[in-house]
Parts: sequence; structure tokens; C-alpha cells
Amino acid sequence: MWKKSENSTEVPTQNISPAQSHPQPVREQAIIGSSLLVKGDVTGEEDLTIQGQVEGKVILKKNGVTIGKNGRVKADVYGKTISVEGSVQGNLHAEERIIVRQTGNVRGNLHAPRVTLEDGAQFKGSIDMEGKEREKPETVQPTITTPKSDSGGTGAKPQDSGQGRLGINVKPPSKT
Amino acid sequence: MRLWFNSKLEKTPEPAKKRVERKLEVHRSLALNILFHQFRESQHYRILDLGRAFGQNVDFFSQFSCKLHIEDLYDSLSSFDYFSPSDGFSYETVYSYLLPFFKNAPFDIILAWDLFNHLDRNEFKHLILHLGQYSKKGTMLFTLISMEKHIPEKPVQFKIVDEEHLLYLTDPGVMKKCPKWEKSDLDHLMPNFRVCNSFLLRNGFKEYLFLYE
Repeated sequence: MWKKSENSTEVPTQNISPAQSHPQPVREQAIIGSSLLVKGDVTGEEDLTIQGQVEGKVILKKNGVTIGKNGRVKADVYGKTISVEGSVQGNLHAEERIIVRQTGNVRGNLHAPRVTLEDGAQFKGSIDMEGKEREKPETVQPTITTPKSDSGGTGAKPQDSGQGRLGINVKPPSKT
Repeated sequence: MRLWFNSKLEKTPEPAKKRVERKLEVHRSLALNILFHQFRESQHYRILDLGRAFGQNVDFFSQFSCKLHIEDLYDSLSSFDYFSPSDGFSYETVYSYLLPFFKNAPFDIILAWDLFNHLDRNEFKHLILHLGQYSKKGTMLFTLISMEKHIPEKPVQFKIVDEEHLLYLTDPGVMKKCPKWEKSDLDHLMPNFRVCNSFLLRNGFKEYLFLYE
């Protein structure tokens, strides 16, 4: 059984530098098991999966933090990436990305360059967004005209004076 | 679970109850289109979304520089069993607990979706009073008022498809009587908000864009 099969595909020869030939170090991964309750802050330098309960800050700014399906965290979480499948009551701060999975439930504020909420995820709180590169907006009209509703019906006559309060001219939607 | 907040809205009598199939429909939104054309790249906006959190909506708003607050107020009220106005607490106390914001950082935009169809007169009035504390001159409020006799028991869930279209997700369930807020009701219940635009849609909703003054 240890004999290499004659049919096995040959691995293409690659130039592997001595440094690459060494086995890659296994990334440290810690788990707080489902029966564990941690009261106090958690810090360190390895990835962490929380399946139990944590009542204290989780500070792993250079590492990934996963709150598993059974995981519950009541405090702020700091990580490089944060993935929530369980529940969190606290603010999430990620250097790179926050993902609230379908089963995730977050009550708190999210701070990260990228935030993903999967369908079904429950979230209440705020998300700070810097704004992506946006297409140049269409030329705005100096005045409001009365747009027709898609019923062709009773669009009330706008009463504003063209200059929107948000600092831009109000423009009616284009008609389909 | 105590449903204090819409207790006065009469449910449809038993014989008239009918099940509604889960519906997914895309409708054009004229008011939302106007709202989105207000955005300027150079400005940072504070947006309050009183509806449910959807990744699609968050993705949409991520093209703007903004702070998006998502509160899913209907859910909060539905699962709210700590105290209620019937226990002697004021509406203001309840709303302050559920919607605690900083008064020195008012919102530019409030997305109420169809929430007002699921509130009675008092709940509606006090919510608006509460939101007024976090509004400023020029704050815009977007809402959809149903013109139908009956509406689904729970609010429609809205996903932003693009700047002109909304996906309506209607949960199956029993129907209930719709308050059918008229313009005169809205004027009375929303004294500091002035109608900026309104559109009657074919789907039975009337879209409103209000401006806080």
C-alpha cells in the first residue's frame, strides 16, 4: 500500500528554495470550548475560536477571532479579522474585516474596513463606512420637477426649493 | 413576549384572516431614488435604518461615506418585555432605552420603511418626538405608508436592489387592519416634518420623503 501507484500523477518539478523546503509553521489556533466561561480579558498572539462564553474584552489585534455558533461574548472584540457565528454584545474592531455569518447575532458597533453581513444575520448597531470609489453622479438639476409615480398617479408636488438640505440639488428620478 | 406597541391595532376578525404566501417582489422606488441623489461624495452622513439589517443594504451604503445605524425597531419592540407604557413607563422612556443616540450628532437620513403602518397613533407620535431629538434641519425621513385595508402582521423587509429599486420580502402570516395614515394624520403626527415628495405606487404603498424643519 505504500508503494507509489504507477498511475499516480507526477508532481511537477519546482525550484524550491531551501527556505521554502522547510515545513511551514502551523498557525497557532486556540479554542475556548463550549463548556468554558471566561470572566476577564483575553489577550495573546494566536488565532482564537470561542465556542464558550467570554465576559471580558478579547484583544487579538494581529489575529483572527471566530465566535463560533455556540460562542457568546459580552464585551468588545479586537482582531485582525472577526467572524461571528454566535452572539456578541459589544463593539467589534477589526483591522481587516468583520463577517457576521447567517447564524450570527451582534448588538454593538462595527469598525472595520470591510464588513459583511450574511443573509439571516441579526445585527443592531452602527457601521462606520468610509465610502468606496463611486461613479461620478449624474449632473444634477437646479430645480425640482414633479416626478410621476409609477402608478402614473398622485405624486405630490414637491415643496422644496431645489437645493437639498444634504447639500445637493434635488433631482427627480429618471422615468423608465 | 409582550406586544405592547401595537396592541391597539385591531387584528382582522378570525373569519377574515387569510394566509399570505411569502412574496418576493421588486418595485421601483421613486422617493428612494431622489434620496440617493442627495448624496455627495465629499460629505459624511449619519443614517438611521429602523428596518432589519441586510448585507445587501449595507453593501449599498458602503459606496457612501457614512455611519449607518441599524436598529430593527419592530423586532426590538416585539421582543421588548422589560417594561411598557402600560406599566406606567412613558413612551419616551421606552424609546430612549431602545434608541439611545447622541443628541449632538443628529442623523441626516432616517429610513423608517413601513414601520409606521405597524404602530398605533400614540406609538407613532412619540416615536416621531423621540426621533426629532436626533434630527436637524434638513434631516430626511423615508417611509412607505400602506393604502391597503389590511397588511401583513409583520413589516415588509426591504432590500435595496439599486438606486431605483427595492426588493420587498413579505413574511407569511396573518393579515391585520392597516391604520391607513392619511396626509392629515401625518401632518398631525409628524409636526416637525414636512412632506418633500410623495408617490402613490401601484403596489398599494405611498412613498413619502419628509424633511425635518
